[in-house]
Amino acid sequence: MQDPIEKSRDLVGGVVVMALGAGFLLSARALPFGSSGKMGPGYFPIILSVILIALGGALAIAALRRSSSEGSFGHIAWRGVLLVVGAVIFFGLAMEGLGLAPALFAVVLAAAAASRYARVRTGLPLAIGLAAFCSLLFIKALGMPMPLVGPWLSTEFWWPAASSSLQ
Amino acid sequence: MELFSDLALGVSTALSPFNLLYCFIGVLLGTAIGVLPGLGPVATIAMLLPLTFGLDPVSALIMLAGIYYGAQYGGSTTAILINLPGESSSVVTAIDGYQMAKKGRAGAALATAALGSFFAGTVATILLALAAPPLAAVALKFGPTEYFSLMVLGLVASVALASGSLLKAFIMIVLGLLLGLVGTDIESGAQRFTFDTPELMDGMNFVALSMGVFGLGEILRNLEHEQTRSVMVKRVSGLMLSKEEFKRIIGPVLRGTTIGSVLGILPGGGAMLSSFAAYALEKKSSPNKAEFGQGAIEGVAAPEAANNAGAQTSFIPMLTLGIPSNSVMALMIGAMIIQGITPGPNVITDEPTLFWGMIVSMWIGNLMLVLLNLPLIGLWVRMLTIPYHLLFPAIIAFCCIGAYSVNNSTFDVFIMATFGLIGYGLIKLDFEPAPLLLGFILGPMLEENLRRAMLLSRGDPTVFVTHPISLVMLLVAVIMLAVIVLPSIRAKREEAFSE
Amino acid sequence: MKISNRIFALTGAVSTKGKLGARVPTLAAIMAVASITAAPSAALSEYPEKVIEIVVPFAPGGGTDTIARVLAEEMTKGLGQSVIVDNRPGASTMIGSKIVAEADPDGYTLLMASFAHAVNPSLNPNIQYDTATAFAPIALVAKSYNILVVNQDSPFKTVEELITYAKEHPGELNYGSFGNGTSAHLSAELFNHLAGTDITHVSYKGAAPALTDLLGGQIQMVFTSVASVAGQISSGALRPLAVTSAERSAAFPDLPTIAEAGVPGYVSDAWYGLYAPAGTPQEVIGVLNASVQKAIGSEALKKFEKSEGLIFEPGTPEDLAAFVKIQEDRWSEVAKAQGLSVE
Repeated sequence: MQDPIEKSRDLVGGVVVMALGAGFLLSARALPFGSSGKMGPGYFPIILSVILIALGGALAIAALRRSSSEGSFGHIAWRGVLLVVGAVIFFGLAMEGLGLAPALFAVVLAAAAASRYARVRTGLPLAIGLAAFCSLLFIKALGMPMPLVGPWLSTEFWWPAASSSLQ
Repeated sequence: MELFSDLALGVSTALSPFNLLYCFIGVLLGTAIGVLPGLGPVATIAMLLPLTFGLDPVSALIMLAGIYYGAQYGGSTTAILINLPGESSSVVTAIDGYQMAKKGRAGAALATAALGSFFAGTVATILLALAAPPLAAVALKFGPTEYFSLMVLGLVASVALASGSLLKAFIMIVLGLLLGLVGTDIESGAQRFTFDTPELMDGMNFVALSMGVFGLGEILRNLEHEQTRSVMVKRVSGLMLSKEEFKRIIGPVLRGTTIGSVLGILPGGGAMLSSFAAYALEKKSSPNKAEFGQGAIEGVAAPEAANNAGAQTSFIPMLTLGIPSNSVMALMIGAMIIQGITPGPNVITDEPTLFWGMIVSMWIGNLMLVLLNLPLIGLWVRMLTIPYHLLFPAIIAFCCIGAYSVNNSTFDVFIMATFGLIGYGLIKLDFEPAPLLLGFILGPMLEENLRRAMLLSRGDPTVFVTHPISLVMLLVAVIMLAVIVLPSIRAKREEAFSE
Repeated sequence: MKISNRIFALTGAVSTKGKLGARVPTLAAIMAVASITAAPSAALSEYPEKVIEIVVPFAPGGGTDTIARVLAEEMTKGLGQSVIVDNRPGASTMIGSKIVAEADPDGYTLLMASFAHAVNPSLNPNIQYDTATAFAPIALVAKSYNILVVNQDSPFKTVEELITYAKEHPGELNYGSFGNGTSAHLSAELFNHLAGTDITHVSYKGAAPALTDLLGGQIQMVFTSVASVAGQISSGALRPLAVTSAERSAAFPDLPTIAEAGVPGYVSDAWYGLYAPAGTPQEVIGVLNASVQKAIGSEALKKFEKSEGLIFEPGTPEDLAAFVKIQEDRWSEVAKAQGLSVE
């Protein structure tokens, strides 16, 4: 009667929650538990982890017993996940090295490509415009401590010997 | 009447052309940074602090205060328009505000936020003028025992935020509580869930987490549905409130203002609780219950009023006790010290121009915010008609900068990316993220106060019921839990019978 | 030399951050060598030629941040180059300190160190830099002290009364601190250690909640900075009992030191010192030390003498090193005696 995928959403959810609870429990078990009169640093985490496992279990069991069909996962925006999350991680890795302007340019370009409406014609000016606007706003106007152009883009960084021998 | 002469002094101080100008600069700047995702008032005030060295102390503090409540104001704009709460207080506004925006009612939501905030700000300012010192004395009655019971009440209220399954809401709260425990245990100094990472020792950053779960998660969800629509909102109807909508928000605004004014006085996290306490109350008592979570205008009005009232009354502990209730207040105290003013109970008597000038300027600042923001609504709403494939890369760019700027740390950018993925996962598994964030905020406070109360009572748990304030709050929490849980249990039972 | 100047001009806004060095160790090593061999002739004559960042390992607001900002403002005037504050909070100052430890030793990334700097080595076994060798001292900006305060309704008028009561009722009194390893915590543990008392530690997240509970009567005493309680003391809401410094303070001449009041040998200093990464050229350190000396003589900082309870003493980089060594030894002894090391 029901599509296995539709039923499985809460089942998956319950199992994931139980796994998360188990993970928390595993990393909290070394902490001193104390007693309810004098609670140790492990008291709260351990109790909460156990509750989380129990709630996850309840969700999974309820899902198994459910006869009616629920909503489905739908399709997953893999391209969006990859590009958007990738762009943010890239910003974290490269901002201090490349500087705000180049890093932001790359981030916007990559993120824009996540859309099915992505066109070079719109993405490129958007990336240039945002990089310029944010550099002006955050570095020039607000004076935030971020490099505009980072050390990775200086010759000195890659060929320090060359620049000093030229003196 | 002494009050009138004091107020007259305040009015003449606040209305001096210079102070009007600085007040305006403050609220303008505050609105601007509030609207930019992630860039909070703390970073801005810190950067502007050196500029205030040369100013008259009153002007300096008027401007800094303006930035603070201006930012509260601007923060709800992004929460409503793009589901991106920059601060804990606007998490709740995002729930129904964003749904309204999606239905083309962003204008009405923004107008509700503006009007509700203005009304709440006015009431809270009057309260500040009339009764600041006695209210501060009440705040001191709150020890760890009372705070613990307040947090329990808050936790119960946060269950009401979810509109779907109760079980799933509980799961999200518990998960949020656990995430909130990441970092150094305050009592023993032990490291919990930090995996020897120094960046995790002070816990995860709320802004990074919330921008990930809400902001990035929502973008990924929208990318899924791209084939059906290229613009977020196809049709924008009416920028202002209809008569009927106006009637609907009066009650919620009044109740929100009351809750916010009361909780804002408590320096230990009261202002933070006020917006969702107000939301929970409306959701349970409103005749339009069913609309909550789908774009109920009451769901915007109540928390916005509470949040703004709380922002104003949270000045009470700072001005009357010299104790900062959040990091913005700590910066303002720093500004006072640099200016040669000793913050403390004597500020009212020693620096009457400062005290009364600031209070009157707060009301003027709130008025300026309404006048500034109502015309801007048209502009904001038009932003939603920008094709989404151009809008979301810009949101991501601002989120990256915002996450970085909180602690000037790339680590927070990675946290945001991680929670973007988690947020999308939650959407896919049909979990609602709002209770998670509230658990995250409440978790550390709940544990801290429970353990501190037990330490101070030397292990005697009866303190929670022998302290009258604590007892009352626990009773309210129990009643509230019953109101929330019983209907769904009854529904389940009926379901079982019908089968 | 001209070319190197042009490179500087091209990358005017370049800021070299520590994390980069950690990721590319060989490059960092090459850069360090290059800067040592190339720097003296070229860069030094013109130091400083770009913005200098003072890393403050705390969030904005609070004592260290406030003093650093005023110091930066004064140094800007003296050096003719912008000196800015860069807040890198977290992990009881270890995040900001690590950034400076790994930064280029060129005098453009400095650390505003304070109490925790000398305590972290003995309290945090997982510290990721070597406090003794990673930094080059520049100058002690200011010394300070804590003040022991009780609620106005407290029965204790003197430190002696407090000690007598605490000894007769062991484990009954509570003191508040701003977290493990903070000056409020260690000053009190030193007190417990030397006075032989057993006053219970109640830890708070920062000074504000601890002082709220002191005002509300939940806890009985706090060792805190002068700035945080000056207003409450002058209004009478809190009563000061003693100062933790070796000598009486100019701001409270009538208050005894804790050593005078019944705990012989008790000294607990607060302090603020400026550091550069190890390997910074002596000439640069000299320029910076001179700039700090000039700044601490300025009116803007003098204002803090009373309000923040600061004591300014001109001194050399060696003076800072010697002073901090004393601090490290004192707190490592207290940490051992009271069993304070975290895990």
